[in-house]
Amino acid sequence: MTPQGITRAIGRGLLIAPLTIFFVTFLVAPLTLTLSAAFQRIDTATYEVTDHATLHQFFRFLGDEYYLGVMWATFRITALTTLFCVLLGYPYALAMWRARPAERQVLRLIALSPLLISFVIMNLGWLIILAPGGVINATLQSLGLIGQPLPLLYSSGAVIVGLVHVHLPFMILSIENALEGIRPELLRAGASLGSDPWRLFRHVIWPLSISGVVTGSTIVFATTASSFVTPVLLGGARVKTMASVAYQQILVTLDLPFGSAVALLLVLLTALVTLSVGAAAMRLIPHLRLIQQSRRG
Amino acid sequence: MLTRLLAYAVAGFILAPLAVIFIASLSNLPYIAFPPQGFTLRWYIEAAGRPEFLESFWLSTAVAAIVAVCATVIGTAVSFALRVLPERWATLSATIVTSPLVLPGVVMGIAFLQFFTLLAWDASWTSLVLAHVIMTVPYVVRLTTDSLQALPQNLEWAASSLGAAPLRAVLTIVLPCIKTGMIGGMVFAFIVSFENVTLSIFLAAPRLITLPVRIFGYTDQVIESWLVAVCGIAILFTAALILLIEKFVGLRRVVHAGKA
Repeated sequence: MTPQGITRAIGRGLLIAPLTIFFVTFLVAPLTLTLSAAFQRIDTATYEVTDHATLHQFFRFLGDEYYLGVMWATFRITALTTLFCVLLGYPYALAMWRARPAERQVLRLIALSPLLISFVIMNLGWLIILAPGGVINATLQSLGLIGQPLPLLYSSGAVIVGLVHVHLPFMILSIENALEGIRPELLRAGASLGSDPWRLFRHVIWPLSISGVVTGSTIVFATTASSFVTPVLLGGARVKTMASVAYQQILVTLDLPFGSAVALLLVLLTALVTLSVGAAAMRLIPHLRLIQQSRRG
Repeated sequence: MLTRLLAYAVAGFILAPLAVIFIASLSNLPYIAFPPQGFTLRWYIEAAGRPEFLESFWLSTAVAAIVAVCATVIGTAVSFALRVLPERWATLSATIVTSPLVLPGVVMGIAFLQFFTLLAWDASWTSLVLAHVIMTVPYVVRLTTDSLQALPQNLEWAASSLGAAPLRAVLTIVLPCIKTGMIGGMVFAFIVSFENVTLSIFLAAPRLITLPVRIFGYTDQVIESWLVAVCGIAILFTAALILLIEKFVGLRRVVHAGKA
């Protein structure tokens, strides 16, 4: 090795060694710890670990009808949130893509705002809108349409509204990204061959942007499934999701192994759903693969 | 035309909670009720006089500032390391370092809580900062890797063949070229840390309650107007930062880098 080569090797070692130590200590170790906790069993009176390698916590969750109900509620809320994100996000992304630069800039800033402001604050805004004395109920009451305030808050509907709101940016960005990838020649070609706007949308724009819908849905599904702040805030005691159960088990009940197991199950289930939906999309929409290949190339 | 109309309706949906917060915070009533009455700034003044709110605001700002600097230094170093590692190791390392973007916040929260309790570092600034740094490094890595990829591989070699020591080549040639990526990453790391609630809630302790966690703690009671004013202040603060990013880097680039 030349002296220069040696200096370079030392330089690389000085860069890589501390980074490896840092991430192994503060990222890999904590995650491993949680993973191993999920396989423990503790005495609930003394908090002593009684067993280190057991599937007890998983069976406890999967064998309890209450928790299976929570699992189903989580899935239902997550799937509906994803659906509404597509329904609201697609027209928005389309309008943004068609808009002039200045208008596009404004629409983009609006679309991104839920991502940049704490969702506790955003949820508080929804709380004010949906509360018994809030915007909707007060308006309906002053119009004489209802006598008693509607129970809008603390329902899965309220949770879905809050979740759609904070996750919409991911959907809009993914779809916009796909739309931007459409070559302008294709649109001109379609138009010059006499396609009206609807047919152009139906046969060119929609098929070429569906990859954005799939990507966006995957991201929205995965992040929604694990949210616990919005369900706690807008769903109250009535709406329980897997993540809020994990959160309460750890911070309120202090049952770390059970909370870890629930969180781990959540990760596995989310991965299972998003991967199989992705695979199904690939199968059902054969040209998706081609789009992805051309993007990469 | 129809899509445009729909898009503006959706924009209304997105902005509704923000608008409601500002309207409610300026109303004369001490608690939230609609329709609002009168106009006053007194809840903002009351909010600013609340010691627990001020403490949380400073904590959040200080943590976010330290986190932004640390995440930028570490994230940029990671990007350099990824550039010199053999491809297989680079892919593995990148997956590990960016995993906090993919893993649920509740999992990361549990992991840090357990880890820092084991080390007996819980309820300390250090643990909060470290957790936030791990959480925000991926954004910096994505952004700086993007900027680095835009540079020709042999830029450092050119510099060193002209006699520059490796470190000097990096500091004087490469760093200025990726400056925008680093600034974007730093501001974004600040925002992500400032607004984070999922990690902070797990690491909270009596003197360690960040602003979003503090607001969260008040939401199970009757919402008082001064609390809404606190939210108003936090929104204005973030808005100022967003304009800063938009001006220097372009928000779109930063946010795209943050996506999985």
